[in-house]
Amino acid sequence: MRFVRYALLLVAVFIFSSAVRWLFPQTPLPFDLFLVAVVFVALFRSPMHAQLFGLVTGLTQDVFSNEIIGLNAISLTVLAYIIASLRQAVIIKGTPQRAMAFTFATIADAFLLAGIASAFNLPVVLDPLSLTIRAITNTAIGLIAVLLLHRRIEERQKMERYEVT
Amino acid sequence: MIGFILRRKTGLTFILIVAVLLSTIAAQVPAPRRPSLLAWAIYAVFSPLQQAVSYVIVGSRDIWSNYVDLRKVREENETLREEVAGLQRENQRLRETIAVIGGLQELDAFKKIFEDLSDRGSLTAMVIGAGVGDSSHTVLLNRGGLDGVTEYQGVISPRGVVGKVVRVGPTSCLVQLVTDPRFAMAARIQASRVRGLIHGAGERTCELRFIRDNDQIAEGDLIVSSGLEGIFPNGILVGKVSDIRRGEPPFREVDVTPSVEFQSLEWVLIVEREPRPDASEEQDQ
Repeated sequence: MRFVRYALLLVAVFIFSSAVRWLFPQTPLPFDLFLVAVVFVALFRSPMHAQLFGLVTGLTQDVFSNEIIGLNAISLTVLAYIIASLRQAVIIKGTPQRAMAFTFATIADAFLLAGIASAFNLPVVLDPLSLTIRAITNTAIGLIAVLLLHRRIEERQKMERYEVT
Repeated sequence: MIGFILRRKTGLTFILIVAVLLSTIAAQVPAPRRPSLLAWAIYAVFSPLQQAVSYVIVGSRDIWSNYVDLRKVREENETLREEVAGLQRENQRLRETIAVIGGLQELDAFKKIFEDLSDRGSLTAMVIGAGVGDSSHTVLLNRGGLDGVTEYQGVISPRGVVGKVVRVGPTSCLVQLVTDPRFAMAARIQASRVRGLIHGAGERTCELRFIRDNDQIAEGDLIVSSGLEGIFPNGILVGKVSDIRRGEPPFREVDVTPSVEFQSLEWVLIVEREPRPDASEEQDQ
């Protein structure tokens, strides 16, 4: 059931991103819903689930964005693993830390992509202004999603733990 | 040993995924990209969704335009509202039909002229969506590997060069537009026959590179494909020179505005890379 929810989340993000791209084909988007979805999953799930979700999301993004296949996948897998591990170590706890996780992930994603691209002699695109705007927008979207859903998710996780014990 | 692996399974999976992805990237960088089984599978899953999204958006747009038309008529004349609204709806439907038929007729006429004048065959395709990348400019077409589409086929419209196919799924393909920063094609200035390289420059423009200071070029000059790279036939319109600046000697910086309006693009032709067999027979005769 959990995997169905992950798949539904990925499909929703894909459809929304594709629709926005269809409506504004030439404008750079001020947000990255794939990244927000991965960070969201990493904030509430285990590192294993988070990194697998990051991998699948990144591959989908790569295939439909004319990027080298694996670029976004590696970046999202690494970020999902780091954030989920930090959350498990109780370093990320509460709304301000969760907000910071979205900001950190957006900036780290840009630098990771630039780093990997330059390591393989690929063209590097790193615009500080659009990165700042994207970090703010991603944080806002992520925070709204967390505030709307975190209670339900935590209650469900408690139920799942209770059922296991 | 097994206990160690089970205890460290998350970390080991992470290392394995990163290693596989790094190898995948490394395998793609030096050689031209080949269609991968993974890309094929993901296309097979997501293409129907993409098509559904495009139908929903087009449908919503029609409903919205009908609604706006209806409101206008109501304001102009209350008594004739129902009659005019009916006529408006009918008119809108007919206009849409005429626009679609007109677009297809134009493309069909262009296809005939193109195939008569060049030695290449072509395949009609419909634009069904846009790619999701932010730094890349791409569109999705409703033709794929099952229709015989392969990577690096040129895509054109009656207005000029659209782009080239960069990824192929079973029933759809991804086209890199001429404005994509990674797009490049051989081109020349139509009037002076000087050759250069068209490069995507993002937003809505391209650049014509390797034009020397003493080459003949002026604002408004038309740029056409030179056919040297084999993807596009010779003489297909790319765009118009919009700005010329001094560049790094001995070259000039030349901005080119593409002739194709990508936002209203609906129907295109996918150009075959190999000459038609009947065309080579004609040439032999």
